[in-house]
Amino acid sequence: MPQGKIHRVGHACSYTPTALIHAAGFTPYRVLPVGDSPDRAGQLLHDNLCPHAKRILDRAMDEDLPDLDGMVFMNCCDAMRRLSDAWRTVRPKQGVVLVDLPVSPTDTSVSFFAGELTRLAQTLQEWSGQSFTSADISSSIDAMNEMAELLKEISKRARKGTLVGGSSRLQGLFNRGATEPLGQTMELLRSAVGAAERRPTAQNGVPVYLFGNVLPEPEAFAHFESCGVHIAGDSVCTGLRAFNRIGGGNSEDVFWRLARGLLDGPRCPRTFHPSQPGKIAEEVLAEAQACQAKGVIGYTMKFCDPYMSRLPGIRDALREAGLPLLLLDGDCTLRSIGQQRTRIEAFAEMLR
Amino acid sequence: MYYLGVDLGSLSCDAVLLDHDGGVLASSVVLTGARNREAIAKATDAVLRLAGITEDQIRATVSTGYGRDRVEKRLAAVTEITCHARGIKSLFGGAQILIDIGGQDSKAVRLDPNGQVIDFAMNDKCAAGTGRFLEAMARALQVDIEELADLDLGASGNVTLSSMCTVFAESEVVSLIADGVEVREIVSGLNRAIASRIVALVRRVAPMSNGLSIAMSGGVAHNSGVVRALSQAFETAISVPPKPDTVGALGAALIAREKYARQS
Repeated sequence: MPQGKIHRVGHACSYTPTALIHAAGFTPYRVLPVGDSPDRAGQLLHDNLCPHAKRILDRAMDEDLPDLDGMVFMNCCDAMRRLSDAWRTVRPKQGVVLVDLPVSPTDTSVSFFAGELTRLAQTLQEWSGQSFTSADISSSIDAMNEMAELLKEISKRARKGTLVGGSSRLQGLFNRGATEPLGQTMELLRSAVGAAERRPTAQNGVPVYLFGNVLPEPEAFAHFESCGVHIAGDSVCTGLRAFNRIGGGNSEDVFWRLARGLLDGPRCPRTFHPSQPGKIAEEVLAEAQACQAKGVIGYTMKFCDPYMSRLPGIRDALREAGLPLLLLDGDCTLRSIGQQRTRIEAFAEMLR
Repeated sequence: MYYLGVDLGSLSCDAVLLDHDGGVLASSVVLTGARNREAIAKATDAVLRLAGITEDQIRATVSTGYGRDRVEKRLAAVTEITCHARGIKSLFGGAQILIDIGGQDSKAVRLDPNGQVIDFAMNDKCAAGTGRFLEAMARALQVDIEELADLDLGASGNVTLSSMCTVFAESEVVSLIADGVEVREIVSGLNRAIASRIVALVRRVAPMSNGLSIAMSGGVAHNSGVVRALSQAFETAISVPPKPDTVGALGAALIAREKYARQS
């Protein structure tokens, strides 16, 4: 792989083993559904498909991406699988790999997923033209874990209202962590952690807990705050959920460790334990109560089947606990957030 | 001391002026048109003129409606959901469900015994079943929108509209006219279609609405045919105030009075 140039491998899901991509010598580059590329994905993807997948394809069709040495898709939902098919059509010369992702964290699933990661490692070696060892992967996991810890600390400050720049700055840091070379990001994050905290002025907003899938626009968080809510805790896949600390440092098999760490991470609706399929509802409730939220905002993409199947359970759990829920559906544009203004403001008024 | 509520909606701009004790002195409804600042000025001037007071005698103004941020000299901007709830509480204290069908959106609001909002649902993504929808249907039927109110009387109720999209429903109405279907049957079908859509909206905030007290606000509440269809759908009487389109502005004025009292 030629030196002196940043070599990136793209991905589009928070379950992507970014440490593996890093160990192979690449910068993991999350293709976030942002920007103002024209809406053209409908040429290849159905109108009623997840806007997250379509927005990513819009960026590829518009060449609104840096050079990518390959693209890793996780087989996490139908929309992502369709996106990987469409990507091969739009970029026929680019290396694309689809990694099967189990839905549950059982031992059998972890073993299967470890096998998938081994296969991915071989593909990454082919793309880079150089081999890497288990020790390299462990070292990348450690580096990614350090980034996750720093982001967790910064996130705590934002949620307390003591981070200068608030939630929108935090989201900007998440986006940089997801797209820029690790060294640059770590420098920035260490500097943010070392900086003085501000007085928690943002606490004028009503504390709410936010859950959902993709919300990468920093302006969206400023918008929430301008509507009178303060995000006191969150679980979205473009936030802290994408920077999950991988444990099991004593594990002999690094692929098994990585597989276990990813499947045991914060749950998104497409992942569940077979004996407790509705546990995500309990988790949302527990996290909302832990951050002393007065209400919960669910921000999910239109046509997101995994969330649609889980929302009734989440709604029931919150209702039983007396926590009001506001459901918003998005389409990966800031325009849709603007249209939600009255709903968010009315929700804040209701909670006061 | 006087308190003003201004509700800048998509179709109309409404103002309500209260006296020191919270009594309604005057109210006005003007068309919003393309220049909303002019509409705000017209609605405000109208209530000042009716009450015989000047603008500097107003102690506090609260704005609401989609254009609430366009109202200058306001003490606060409050959403129409909160303002309609506050307004309806002052008119029908026991209301548990509020249905507000305005010019461009519709809302269902669940109220607690104190009149506080405990849940709400909105349809603001399309104009189906709203004032704009009825305007389009009146145009297709070649009648004034006010005439729609009683045109369903005597209908057998055997015509059903398959689409609530404003564009498709207008085409369907034109087709029914061409097929020689009586106007009263078409209007009855329109009213029942609106009611079924509102029932679905209310179910989102009150899955079991049986036995709950329901009130209605917003300009569409002037249409007695729609109110009748809603009453039949919910199997209960719907409480409608004499001036349903000014309920939001009334709530805003009441909030202005409360906020001013708290600040003083």
